[in-house]
Amino acid sequence: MAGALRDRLLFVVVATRLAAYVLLVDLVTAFVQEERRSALWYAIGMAFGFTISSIVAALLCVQSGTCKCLNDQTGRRSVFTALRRSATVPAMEIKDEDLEAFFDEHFTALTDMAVGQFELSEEDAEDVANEILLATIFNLPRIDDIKPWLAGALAHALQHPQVEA
Amino acid sequence: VADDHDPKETVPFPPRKRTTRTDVRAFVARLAREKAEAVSVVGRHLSETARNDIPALAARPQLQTMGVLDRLATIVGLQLTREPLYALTLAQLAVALSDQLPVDAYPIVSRAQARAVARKELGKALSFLGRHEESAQVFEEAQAETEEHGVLAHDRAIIRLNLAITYLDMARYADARPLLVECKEVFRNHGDTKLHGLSGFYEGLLLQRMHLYREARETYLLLIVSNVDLSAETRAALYQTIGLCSIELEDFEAAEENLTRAVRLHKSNGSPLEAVRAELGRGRLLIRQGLPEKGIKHLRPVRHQFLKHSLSEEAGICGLDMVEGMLLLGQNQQAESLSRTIINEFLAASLSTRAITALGYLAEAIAANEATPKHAVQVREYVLSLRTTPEREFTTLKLTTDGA
Repeated sequence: MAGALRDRLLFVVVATRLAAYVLLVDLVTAFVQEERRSALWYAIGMAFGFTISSIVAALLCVQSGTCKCLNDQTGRRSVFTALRRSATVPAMEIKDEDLEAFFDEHFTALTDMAVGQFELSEEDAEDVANEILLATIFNLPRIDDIKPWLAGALAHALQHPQVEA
Repeated sequence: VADDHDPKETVPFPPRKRTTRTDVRAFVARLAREKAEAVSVVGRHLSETARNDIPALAARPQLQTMGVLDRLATIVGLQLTREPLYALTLAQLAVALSDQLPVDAYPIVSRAQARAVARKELGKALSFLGRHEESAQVFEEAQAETEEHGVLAHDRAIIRLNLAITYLDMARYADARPLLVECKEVFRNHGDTKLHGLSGFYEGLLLQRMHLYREARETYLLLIVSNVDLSAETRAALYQTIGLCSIELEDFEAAEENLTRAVRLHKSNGSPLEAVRAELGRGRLLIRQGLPEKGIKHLRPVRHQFLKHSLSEEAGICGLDMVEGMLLLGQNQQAESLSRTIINEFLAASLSTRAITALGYLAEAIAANEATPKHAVQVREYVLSLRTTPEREFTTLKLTTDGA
């Protein structure tokens, strides 16, 4: 449905723009031949053709969701605000169906790393892996690449000893 | 990241109450349930409670859950730019609720994380309202909540980044810099390119505010050439600031190249106003290059655009660039007239009285034939500095003939 509408809009854009270009050629010819009245009519027709073409193109843009100007956020320090907003994503978003696979995959990877690279016992490795996964649940929405994130969390966790609970 | 780590340097994980897989699963299940319930629970409580009574909601046991805290954090984030005082009230409620989370219901690390996040949101709300001292104190409390938990290094770094930004707003540059350097490192170690880039950006901004333009430019350039995930908007902003730093360094070729690139990118991003801001930099560049006539001609439409968008402060800044150019050309009468026009615009827009006073001094100095182009630069920098330090006195900045 959306595709058919887009095709029709595209056709109107191409047709009106072609017509406007034809009129543009006529306009130049009329000017050269000093036919002022004809030139005026050609100019009106050309402007009308380009206007229709632009409106339909804008509709097409909106319909396909590619119109960047719709998302324009002007205002002072908008770039800084946008940047800072990236640090303020509300936490704790996780799809239930992905949880099991997430834990299985990363729990094993974390414990392997803790034992292999940091020489922890199995028990300590499982403990720290679970704590990291607990802390990660909160941060999941902001994590783009989970593997380096977990590796970094492990390295920092082990450089930063916990006190007795 | 972990490969760089020397196992011999690590501290053995100490004996303590074990966190089991069952604990993690139970927490996740509880969190999912609480989050699902929180939407209606929070909505109902907030709609039924008068704003003055919101703090009393902290005593309601049904609100003392992490799901509710998550929901409140979302609402605070949304309200911050709409109704900052309401956001502050909700952030304060979240802190009170986080202190009353049931001890046995959640793992220790999760409770600490929730308390830290609630305080971080409160700090941000305070910072947004310009209450920087309180904001810094709350961020320090948030940081303290995470201190005992090594696994919360990333959360701690986010808090420190926010604290550094607050210090930046307070012009406490010496305090901000080590925080930015440290949290940038943590984000890098976690592969968090977005926050790594953001920290780098603020580090550059810090250096720029400290007038360390060469270092600032290096920092921005490093960000551009690194593999940090930068949006087109950020990239454009970076080119723009590199251009502005280059003007200060009198590297005019680089300034022109970067500002032109910024204008082009802003336009293609659909941000015409940002493009106008970059054009302001190009106008300033022409004046600094010793082409004041061209500079003034370039800045006239830029100033017009700012006024068209009711951006009186930026129009004034742009006007002061033009005043600098006019003074270079010896057009004192036009310079005085423009200075007085800017004063009227500032008055009409109810802008800072300190800025108006400074502009008044400049206009009088021009009228008395005592002003030099450097004076216009000084006043412009003073007006700009009021954005971050609105209490700064103009009297501390003397209009000296050498511009010092």
